Amino acid sequence: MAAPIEFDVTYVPDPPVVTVKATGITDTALTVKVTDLDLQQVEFHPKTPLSDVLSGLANDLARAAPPIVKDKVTALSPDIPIGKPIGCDIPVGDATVHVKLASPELGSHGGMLMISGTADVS
Amino acid sequence: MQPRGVSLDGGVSDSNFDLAVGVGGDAVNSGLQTAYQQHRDAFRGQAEKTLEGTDYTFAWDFLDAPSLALTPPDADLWGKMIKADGVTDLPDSGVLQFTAQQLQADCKVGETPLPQVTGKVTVALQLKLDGGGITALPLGAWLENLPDGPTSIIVKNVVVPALLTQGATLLKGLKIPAQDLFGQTVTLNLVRVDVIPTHLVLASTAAVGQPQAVRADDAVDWPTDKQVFTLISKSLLTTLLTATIKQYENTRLAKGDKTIQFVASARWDATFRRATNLTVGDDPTTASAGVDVDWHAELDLVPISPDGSGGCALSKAGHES
Repeated sequence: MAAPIEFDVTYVPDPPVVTVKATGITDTALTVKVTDLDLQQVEFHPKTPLSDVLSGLANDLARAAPPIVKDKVTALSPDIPIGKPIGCDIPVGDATVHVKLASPELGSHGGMLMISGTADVS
Repeated sequence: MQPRGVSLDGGVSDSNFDLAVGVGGDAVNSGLQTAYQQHRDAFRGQAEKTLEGTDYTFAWDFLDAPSLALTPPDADLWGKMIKADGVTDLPDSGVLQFTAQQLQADCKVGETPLPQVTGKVTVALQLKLDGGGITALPLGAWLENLPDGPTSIIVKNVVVPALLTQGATLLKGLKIPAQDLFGQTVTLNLVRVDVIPTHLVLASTAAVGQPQAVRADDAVDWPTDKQVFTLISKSLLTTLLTATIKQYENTRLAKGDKTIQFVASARWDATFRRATNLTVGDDPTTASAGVDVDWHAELDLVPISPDGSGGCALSKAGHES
């Protein structure tokens, strides 16, 4: 059987730009939502000259590609594990009191990401 | 060059530190309450000293949980305090007070017990940065009821030094334990400690961030309406998010295919290779990045007849184009 005809693929813009937004936070994870993928156009350039009918097939496929990729990517909502709870340790003699951040909320303060909440003392 | 530390209006800027944790005074005191209940023995102790052949003993017991006031003592109280060696003036920053309403003191001079006294005690301390940690520098102590005269040997040499040490020990080693943040190991270097009336704030630079020189003298506008807060610089956030995205490298994003019956079938797939130039937005809950996508597309010609004469289609395609 003949080897497949391969394509070079170009896209606009190059690279596509993805934007994300942190949408929520719990004690264990930060949820990030992919809000957009800027991918306007995909073109398949055959490495071997193609007939009109085959070019049409490739073009149809290339035209359909951006929304497929975009839909797939913008549906992503990965959770980033936080690891240890955020807080600070207050040593008292030989003992240590842990003040942890509970009921966390996302925000910003002075251009920095702010995670605020109430104190959970243990 | 304008230092990037703090903006002119006193707001937080991005480069003083990578991570700050602020804890409200009420939360700190709730922590002390807990510590008092769980570790009662940490609030009792005894100090002994032999001076000119006489043994002096001071045994103390905090009968209730001590609390911290994140403010310096007022001039009147400061005036009444017995100062630590070498201290005369109240420092202008980092000063807090450790107060217990009921300190019970049992003192002995030689084998002779002094009358037991119980009363309020306040120790003034200054929190200072010291080689990546915090040192609590004792400044002075005031006792409502002294076991002996204020200039007596036992008060000057045993009771006050023991209380100053106790106060300093209370806060020694205060630190931010957040070494795992968003699944990344972050090594923190404490660069600033702020004692403001509502909060105790610790700020660190992170080994994985790009900390700039710190101007610890500039006032920072902390979000004091929050009981506990953490601020993360864009620089550290960029590093953390970039590392987080790595786990998605080489993930297939999407694929598609299309067939013209008896002629050809074409297919493509797109794989996420890596993110480039991740940038945290003006709103730090947002970020954008370039997506390096590995595209693969190919087309197979379908044999027209079972005898494999599909080769004709390939040559035909070539000719027609």
